[in-house]
Amino acid sequence: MILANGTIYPSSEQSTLLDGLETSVNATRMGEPLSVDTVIGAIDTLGRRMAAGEFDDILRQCGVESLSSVGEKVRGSVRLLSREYLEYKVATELGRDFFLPRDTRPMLGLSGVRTVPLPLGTLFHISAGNVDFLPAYTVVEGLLTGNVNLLKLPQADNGMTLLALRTLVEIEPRLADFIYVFDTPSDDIAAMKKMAELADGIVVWGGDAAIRAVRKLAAPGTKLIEWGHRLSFAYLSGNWRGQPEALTALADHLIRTEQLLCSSCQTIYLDTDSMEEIYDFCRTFLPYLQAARDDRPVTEIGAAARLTLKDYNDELERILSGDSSVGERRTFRGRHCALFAREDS
Amino acid sequence: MSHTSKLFHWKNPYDTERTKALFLAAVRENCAFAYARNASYRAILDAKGFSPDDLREYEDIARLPFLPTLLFKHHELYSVPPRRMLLKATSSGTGGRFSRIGFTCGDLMNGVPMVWKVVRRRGLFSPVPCHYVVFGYRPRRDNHTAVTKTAFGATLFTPSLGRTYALEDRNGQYVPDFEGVAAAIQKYAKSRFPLRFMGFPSYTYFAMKLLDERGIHLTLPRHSKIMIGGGWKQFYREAVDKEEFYALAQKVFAIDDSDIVEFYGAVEHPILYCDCPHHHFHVPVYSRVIIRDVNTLEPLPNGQVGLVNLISPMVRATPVLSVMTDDLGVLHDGGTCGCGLTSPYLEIIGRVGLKDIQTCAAGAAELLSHSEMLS
Ligand SMILES: [Zn+2]
Repeated sequence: MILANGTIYPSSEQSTLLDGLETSVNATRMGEPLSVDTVIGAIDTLGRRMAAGEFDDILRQCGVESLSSVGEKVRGSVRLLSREYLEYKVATELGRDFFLPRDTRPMLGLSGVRTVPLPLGTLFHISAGNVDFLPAYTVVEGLLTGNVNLLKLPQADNGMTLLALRTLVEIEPRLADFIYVFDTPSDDIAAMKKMAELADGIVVWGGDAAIRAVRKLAAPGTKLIEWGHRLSFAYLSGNWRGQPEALTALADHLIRTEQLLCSSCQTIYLDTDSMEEIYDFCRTFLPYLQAARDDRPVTEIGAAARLTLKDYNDELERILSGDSSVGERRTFRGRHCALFAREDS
Repeated sequence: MSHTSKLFHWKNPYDTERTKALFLAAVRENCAFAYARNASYRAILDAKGFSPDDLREYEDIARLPFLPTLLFKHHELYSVPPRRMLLKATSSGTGGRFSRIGFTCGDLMNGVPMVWKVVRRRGLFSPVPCHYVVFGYRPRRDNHTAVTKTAFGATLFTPSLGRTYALEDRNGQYVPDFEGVAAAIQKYAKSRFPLRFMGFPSYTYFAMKLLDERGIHLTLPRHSKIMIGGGWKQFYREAVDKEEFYALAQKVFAIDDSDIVEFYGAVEHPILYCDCPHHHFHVPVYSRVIIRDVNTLEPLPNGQVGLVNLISPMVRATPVLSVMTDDLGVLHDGGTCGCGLTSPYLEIIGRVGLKDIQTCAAGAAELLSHSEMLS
């Protein structure tokens, strides 16, 4: 299905809609600009309706959660959709009163100018499909900055993106002309190209391969806004033994983020040439890690199985990656947590 | 004749008690083959301190290192050169990644007596021609998914008068065509030949629901059957339980639940599990199931919930001898079923949903549920 100007169309209408897209996007951009307040108001309303449980059944049908409760997850996310949070987000990321015109006041009697931040124009979003809400979220970011948004749905989308964006348009009809959602398959290069050509910026979520592919689609002058994979690590030097608070904090960070964020520490580097010191660190640090794990116990059987399986799979991956033959390695296993010691190659 | 071949020709497909020694010998044979020819498999066994010679007693099978199905999604772990592989099948790969499992001619030949024996017990072979409605994909050259191959295979149990597919290939893209299916069902219902359904339970259920909502209630020709396979995983979502499915089949098609047959299998464990008349999945001789503790991965006694570890010496081309699925299940004592089969039966109760990703994109999902992390 396709969402364009607030209306749902069957996928078969894609080429007709794409043909008229430039005209309709241009008309939108000539018209009334979208204010950040309008967008925030609509999202806030959506959040309230979600909190009230209005969409629980549909979300369950979309398969948002299979094993644990939908309601809990939804209500957890509602805070992110609140006016308070969104205003905070915009102010933090863009600065206070970002959208207000500003006059420069140069010295020495030079003449000043007035600057006004404007939207980039049209954004084409290619979002990752592995996360519920992410495709809708990237469009919301585009809306907050007043852009017209073309979204290509990920192949694995479960219908939730369309539901969320369509509801948003129902709440605030002024958003209708700023949201286009296409369920184009990734191998429909012609359609992808067309959307890319219309865009002033392409927002892409994915790894190197995805970004490389998108670069090929983009015309010169089209900005690429990349949300790629990033890695973070911890680096320990000197007297780590004398710093229990730091070790506690590190363990807490590892467990709290489940190492899932790009800001999560993925590896701990130790500034030493001695493998013995690394083993010693593992022996010392494992109880800290275990304590942090026990503070956030894994009680649900599915979650416990997932962690155990992941640990086991990681262990085999390490064996297959071949570093078993290079240097020393050892595993320090706790309950639902483990440390893998190895040389830095 | 190899031990494996002997096992797959065993007369009674549910005689797990008396095939223990043979099963062990076949596992040892398969393990030694993979160990000798597959460097990756050897590296894993070496790292785990296990050698094929350690398989001395039947109980030693539980100590054999198992490979998680996820591993086959990231590595092509073949034990024979590609030219010796007759067939490569893939899992359905929701989320983009899928397992690649290769089969040699000999591997596939093992499957022939197995399918014959298992399917015959449920009375699915018949010389009477049938119409087929497949709730799955129309096969095409580039579709290597095992479900597609299995679904097609099931339409060969009898001569076919025609096949209608719920997922049709339109210009290279699969699109669901429930209207076409509904029309075909109504047409075939008037025929004097039986109608057989094969495919995903969720699609079958959806089609029955569609007919029911339109007030269309049919009496299908005698000996019509519903065969379902491809997992209940869609069912966890829709929370439709089997009883409701059987009731709907009775209401819409006048099909008894004894004419509903379910298959279970995975591309990483291509053993045909077929339910008994009481709809339980008894373990056939070609396979063994170990339920493992979700924390320690140690084997659990029957009746307890854990991760499902499946073992079969069927395949040589890929080291799927002992695979760890991401399903949660229970193994029940066979005698408690009451259908007469004594081999234990497997109940799948859910999927762990091991996600393939640990990037920030995955983290964003966590953020939605733990919003405090943002600040
Ligand atoms: Zn039974």
